[in-house]
Amino acid sequence: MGISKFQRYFRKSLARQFAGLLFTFFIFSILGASILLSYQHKLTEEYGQKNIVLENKETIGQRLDQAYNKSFFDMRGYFAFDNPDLKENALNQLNIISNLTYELEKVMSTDEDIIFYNEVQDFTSYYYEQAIPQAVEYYESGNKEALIEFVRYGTTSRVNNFQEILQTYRLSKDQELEDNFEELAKRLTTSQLAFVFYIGMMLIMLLIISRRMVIQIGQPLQSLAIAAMDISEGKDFRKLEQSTRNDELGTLSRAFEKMFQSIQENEQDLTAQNEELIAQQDELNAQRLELEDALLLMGEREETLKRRNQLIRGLSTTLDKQKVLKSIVENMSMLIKADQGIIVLLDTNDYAGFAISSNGAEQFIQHLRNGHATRAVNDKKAFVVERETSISERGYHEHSSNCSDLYVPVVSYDDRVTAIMVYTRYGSGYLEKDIEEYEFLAKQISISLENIKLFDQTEENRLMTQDILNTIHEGVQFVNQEGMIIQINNKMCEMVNCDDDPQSFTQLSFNNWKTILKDVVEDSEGLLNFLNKGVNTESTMEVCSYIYHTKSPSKVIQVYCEPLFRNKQKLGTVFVYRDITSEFEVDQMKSEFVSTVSHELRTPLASVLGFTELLINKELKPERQQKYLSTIYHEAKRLTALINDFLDVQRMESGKQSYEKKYENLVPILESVIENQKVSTAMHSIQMIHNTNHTFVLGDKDKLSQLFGNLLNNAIKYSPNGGVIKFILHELENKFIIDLIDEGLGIPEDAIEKLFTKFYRVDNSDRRKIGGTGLGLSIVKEIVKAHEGEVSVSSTLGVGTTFTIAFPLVKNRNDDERNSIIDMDLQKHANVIIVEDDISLSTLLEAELKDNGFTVQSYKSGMKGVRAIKNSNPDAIVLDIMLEGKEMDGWDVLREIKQDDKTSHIPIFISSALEEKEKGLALGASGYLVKPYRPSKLTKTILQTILKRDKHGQILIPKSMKEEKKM
Amino acid sequence: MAKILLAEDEDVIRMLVVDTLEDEGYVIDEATDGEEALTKILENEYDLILLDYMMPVLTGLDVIEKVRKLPEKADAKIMMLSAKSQTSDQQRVLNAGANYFMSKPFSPLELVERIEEILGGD
Repeated sequence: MGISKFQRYFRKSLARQFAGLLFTFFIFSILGASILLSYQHKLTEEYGQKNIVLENKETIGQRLDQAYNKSFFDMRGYFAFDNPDLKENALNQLNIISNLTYELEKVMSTDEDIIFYNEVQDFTSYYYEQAIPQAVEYYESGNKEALIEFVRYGTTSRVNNFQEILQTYRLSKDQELEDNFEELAKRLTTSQLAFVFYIGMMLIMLLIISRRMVIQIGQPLQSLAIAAMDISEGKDFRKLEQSTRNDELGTLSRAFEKMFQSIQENEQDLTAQNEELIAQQDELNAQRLELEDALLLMGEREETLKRRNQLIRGLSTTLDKQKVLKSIVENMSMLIKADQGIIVLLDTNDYAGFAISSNGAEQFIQHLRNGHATRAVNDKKAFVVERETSISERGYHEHSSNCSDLYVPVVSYDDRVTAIMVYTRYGSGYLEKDIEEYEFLAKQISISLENIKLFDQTEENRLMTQDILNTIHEGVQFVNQEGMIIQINNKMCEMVNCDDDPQSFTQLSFNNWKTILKDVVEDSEGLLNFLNKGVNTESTMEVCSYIYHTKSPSKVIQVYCEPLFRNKQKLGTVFVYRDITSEFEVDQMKSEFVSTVSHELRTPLASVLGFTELLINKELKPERQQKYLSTIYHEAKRLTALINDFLDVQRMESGKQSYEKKYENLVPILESVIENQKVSTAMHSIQMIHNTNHTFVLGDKDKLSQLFGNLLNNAIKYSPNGGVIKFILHELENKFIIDLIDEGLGIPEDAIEKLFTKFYRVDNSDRRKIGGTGLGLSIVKEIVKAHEGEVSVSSTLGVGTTFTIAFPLVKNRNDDERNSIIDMDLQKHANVIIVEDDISLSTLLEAELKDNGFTVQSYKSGMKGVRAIKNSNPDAIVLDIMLEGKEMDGWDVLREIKQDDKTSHIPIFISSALEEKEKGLALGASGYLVKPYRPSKLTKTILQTILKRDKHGQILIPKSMKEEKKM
Repeated sequence: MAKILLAEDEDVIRMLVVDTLEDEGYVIDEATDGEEALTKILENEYDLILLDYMMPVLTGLDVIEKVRKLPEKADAKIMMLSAKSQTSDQQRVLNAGANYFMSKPFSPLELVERIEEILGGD
């Protein structure tokens, strides 16, 4: 159990396996190293112990050697030197030797040691128990020979032998020590080698395991990759070997397999579905084909039906004749399967064609009238005409072919042929039964055409009525008994501010109409009541009317109602709305005016009457009498002026004022006005400045005097502190402008717009003392208006006021032509000579100049021209440069005239195609006109020059300026 | 003697009324427009106020309406002199609070009589 659990633990994870492997390797390495170390330690220990034993043995041997040697030496010394100490010493050595021997016994371990020990035992016992006592006996006995003998033959050899044994033993121990060390070194080497081998084995093991691991991980991954690749390439999936594994790869593989399985299952599902669908589709296809066949059959029938239906619908949906005809011919052509078709109304020649150009149609109609129409009208039956196709019909076909024209008359209810239809088929003809059907359809067409005719007539009548209603300048509205609008005219529509066609109001309910009115009518309650009453009234006698005001634009409307009856049956009510705004305003203005006038008249009257009464009834001092009388006089005068002004305004406003208009030069008029007014003031300097020569006005001299008199009078009155008053005359944008500038009180801005209102006077204490009727400017306005002029005011309080009058500019030409006596004379007598070789041009110029009142002579050659000029001394000369005859050209004529003192003053106008203006003017020409020019330009140029010459020094300097100069 | 305010913009009429009434011994204060009249009415006590109808700045009607709004002037006697002589104008003036009305042109002697009547009755 334990092991399998362990195995499972590792099989579950590659990481665990790897970690386990590393751990094992580590443990084994540690184990090996520690075994090696302990073994080496043990070897060293053993070696040390053995060494100590051996060294001990050797030391014992050495000391034995030393001890015996000393003993020998001492003994010999004793014998030699007879020193008993030495003998003693030698004997003492025995103890040492005994100790050593004992020690040796303790440490001996080998056979050699035992032999050596025995040798030592033997020798010791020999030496000390036999040799030494013997020798000493000999020595002490003085038996030297015996001693020597003894030593020589017995002892010495034995001692030497023993010494050799000792030596050998020591050497052997040395050897053993050396051997011991060598053994140690050998063992150490061996153990290290074994360790190296062990490590090597471990590494090999590692390699083997690693390889196994690599195989275990790499191969499954590779097979997984290959499997994935296979799947992606659509190959079959092989079951993966590793899928039984418990580790990550196992999991991966299983997941992979599952995934693949689900993909496979899905795919199988899809395939199955797909197959099913294909099967269904096949089935459907089969059905569709069947249906299509059926449909084709149906379609053909339906097409015919549809055309018939369309034909019928086309007949019934619209009353527009052209649309109906178009619909008839198209649908019939389709129905008949004709290549071309046309329907022609015999009464009106209206027609509609199918696949036929308008040109072709008209030609055909012409042809029809002359040919087959007669047959159709007479027979009232459809017939077919076979004919050869015309070239245009044939199109790209080279050979001639036949076509059939089907003529179908449309017969009306009163058995009259009203229209003819003709359909053409190329190639095939018509079946008898089809023709019958077409005739039947033609009957229906006939009914529809009849309807259209009726509708047209009704529509015509309706439009006529509506048009008549629309011409009426009053709002007309006809409502039925419920108040629903039946008809309404444009004016009515306008009155409720509608943007639409009045048609949009028809069928509008009474309530909706009331809502519309509520929006536009001020205080609509009364009007709505009135309308209710109007809708419900039954009596013709009850003619009622009502007046109401609209919001914007503010208007006053009077509405009256009239119930409408037919055969004593009420049909509805007609409301008529009249715009009485202007009458209403006039009325209001009138009463206001009367009230104002009465007030204005009563004030002076009150003083006249009052003071007169005082004079009559009271005893007054002469001064007071005088004061009152003069007051009465002034007030009476004021009353007169007021009445005059008032009558003037009345006359002018009502258009009853007659103006005797002539072309008048304004300058003398202004001069006389200034002259008149100057008397009344010593504080003012009045001047006139002109900046124009066009000072003529078509107007009434007296009224112009009154106009400027009033203005100047105001200027004087409203500049009580004196100052300069200037008339400035100038020209601006084709207008003749007169500015009257004063340095007076000025007019408040809010008063300017009311300035021209009747009886309006600027309220201000400064002005109260200044008298006036309040009508002066009203008169000014009226006079200016009557002269097609404009008047405007600009003013700065405390600085002054400028009144500006603008009249239409009058060119002097017109003055001369008609009214001004001086200029008329001038022009009548103006004699012009034209020198021009082009007869047509000279005729043209002559006519133009004569039209303008000049006397004209023309000459073609320079010589004749010069002669005529010198004889008649004309007022102007028109001269061409290129002239008839080589002897004298225009330049020569010009020089000739200018050289002669008698003629040099005559202005010469060169009329030439050459652009040599400089040269012409240098030679003394007054003007240079480059051909072509408008003849009127010539007239104008001549007139300007003549007028300038004649008036110079006379008119341009006004009197006022002259006076100024004098001052 | 009774103190009278005359508000009238026309110099001539003012002279006529002032001369006439001063001859009778009244003390006359003059105003030349409605505003001036109103100021004087507020500052002084008059036995009678004569107002012209058509005056600059404030008309006689305006003045009456303003005066009648003040409780302390509720008893002030006001006579309107007007060239607007229609009954409707007269009615409007009286409705606004004028006590008396004389239309222009008026007789100076009649004016004196009316004033004596009004002030004598007190």
